[in-house]
Amino acid sequence: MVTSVIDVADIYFSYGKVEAVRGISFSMARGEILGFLGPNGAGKSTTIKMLTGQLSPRSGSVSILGKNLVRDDPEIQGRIGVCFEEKNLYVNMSARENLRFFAGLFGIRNFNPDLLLKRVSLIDRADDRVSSYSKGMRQRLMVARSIVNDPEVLFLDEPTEGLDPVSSKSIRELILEQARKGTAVLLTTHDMWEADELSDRVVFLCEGRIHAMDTPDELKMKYGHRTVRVKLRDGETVRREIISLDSPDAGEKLKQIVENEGLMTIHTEEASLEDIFIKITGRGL
Amino acid sequence: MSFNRVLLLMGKDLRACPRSPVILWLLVMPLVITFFLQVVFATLFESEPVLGINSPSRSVILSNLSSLEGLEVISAEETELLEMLDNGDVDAGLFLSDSFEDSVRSDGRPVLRYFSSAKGSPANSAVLLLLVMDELRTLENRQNLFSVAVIAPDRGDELPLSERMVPSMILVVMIVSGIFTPAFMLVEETEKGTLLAVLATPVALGEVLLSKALVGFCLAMPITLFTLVLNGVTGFDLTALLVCFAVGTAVCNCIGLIYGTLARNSKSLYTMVKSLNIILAAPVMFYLFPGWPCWVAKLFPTYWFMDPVYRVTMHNATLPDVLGDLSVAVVTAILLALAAASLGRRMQNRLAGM
Repeated sequence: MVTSVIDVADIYFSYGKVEAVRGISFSMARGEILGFLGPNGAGKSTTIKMLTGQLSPRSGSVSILGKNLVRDDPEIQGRIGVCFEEKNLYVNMSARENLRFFAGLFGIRNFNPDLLLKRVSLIDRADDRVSSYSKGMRQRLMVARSIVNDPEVLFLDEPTEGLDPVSSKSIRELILEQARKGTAVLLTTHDMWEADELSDRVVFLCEGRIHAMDTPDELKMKYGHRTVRVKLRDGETVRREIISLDSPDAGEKLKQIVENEGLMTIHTEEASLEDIFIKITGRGL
Repeated sequence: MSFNRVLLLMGKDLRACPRSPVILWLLVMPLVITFFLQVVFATLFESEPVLGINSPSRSVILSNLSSLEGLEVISAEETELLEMLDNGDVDAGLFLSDSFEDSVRSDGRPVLRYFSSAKGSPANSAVLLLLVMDELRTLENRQNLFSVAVIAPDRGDELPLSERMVPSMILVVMIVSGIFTPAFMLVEETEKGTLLAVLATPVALGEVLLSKALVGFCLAMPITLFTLVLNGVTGFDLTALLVCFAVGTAVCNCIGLIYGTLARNSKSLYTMVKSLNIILAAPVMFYLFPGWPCWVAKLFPTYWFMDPVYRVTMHNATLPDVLGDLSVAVVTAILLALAAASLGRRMQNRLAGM
């Protein structure tokens, strides 16, 4: 039996008259990575704030690790990790001091920050002040800080936004490694490719509502078009053709093409998450 | 509430102190205040009489006047002394010819050239003239008709202005260290977003507020005491003073927390400090102008620790003498702490984007 670590039931939140989250429900299992996808103002950050106890839902309930979430609950907060979108590090302290300080707040004794700093490739700059770090280094430190307590649930708000490919890759590896250890990871991102790569399931959030929630493959199967793109030599000319795999005669057509001596290239194509998002919500990211 | 976490938060803030301009100002402040008090209120308004003398080097009058206490004597050339009189660098100038003293001794009745400076103190000039007359009688070998002693005018119970400045000096130190330190630290954390990160751990908002208040307390106490000692205010009941400081600093810390929770950024904090501190500093005026009705001063929260400090340092009051006022200050501190906690909750909502 799969035990849920997060159970969200019909939560609602508004900033004055602006409804940010309008009755969303989902659950997460241990070791699962759930990608929260949506444009700006979709309600992703508000949802994370409610799940981390910074905001209380106006209605509905949130259960984390089997416990009803109330604001400022030190027991729950000791078992979760949060990586904010904002780079809120102590810039006048070194990376080592930052990690040691936060480990202290979690009540961890004999904490060795070097292991974590090695994992995020910051060990060589461990004693330098964070103010001298690049954007990518700061982000890696932010992620390292969020796992200082080896959390059971990890919330990552846009962890790779605006980073170079190398920094993004190292953060993605860290997220996967953490999930393999059994941590449930809730990830918000604009990057559909990243969500596809990392997430076991994705949630399409738009205007405070969940429009779809499934594995990326299922969503593609359900909403996407599978096609095969071919290039054929036909005498002096080159002919391009797109065959839909969902059409009834797809098998026959493919057989003819493969047997055609003029076949130059053949590619399968599947719909991207972005295409599906636009199709489902009617708007882009 | 975990005391370990409060200590951790305090340690982090105290380690950051040497890099903070506010804390650096705190360290310099006692010296600046002392300089201000000593220069403006001790020298300008209560300066010693200064007499310039142009005389032969072996002059007995010059030698005798130079040996007197409470008087500054400057020996100068004639033109130089005239210039000093013009500029007001001396209160009076005495010009003695080579034969002047011999002439006085032989009853020759020479002319005395004594000038008062238009820019000097008339009172000092009068005192100096009497001292010169006294010396001439001695030189003449006659019995003195009078003896000169400088006596301060009777002010009754009223203290000199420099001493009446002590409460305002203490308030300045407490405002900067006790109020501004926790307020500034809190606003800095909200502006940089680090407070959100701290609150995402098991740390409660109350622990953060307490740690900021305690950092302000730890800095304000020694700095205030140091400022007092630096200004020569000693001989008081130390226990009573420490209790007064502790209560006063606690009141200031709570006010600082209220400032810190209300201010949205450092700019609004500076505006708040500039406008609201006038109200907090209002009781000072009642010490500078003792004739004003005292009951008005009691309407201000700062009065209830300022007055005990004033009485302990200036009138040698003991702890039992000031316990009543301090009790009111303690109640004020508790009420302010409750207000700060409530405003802290609003600040937390604001930070979360509400």
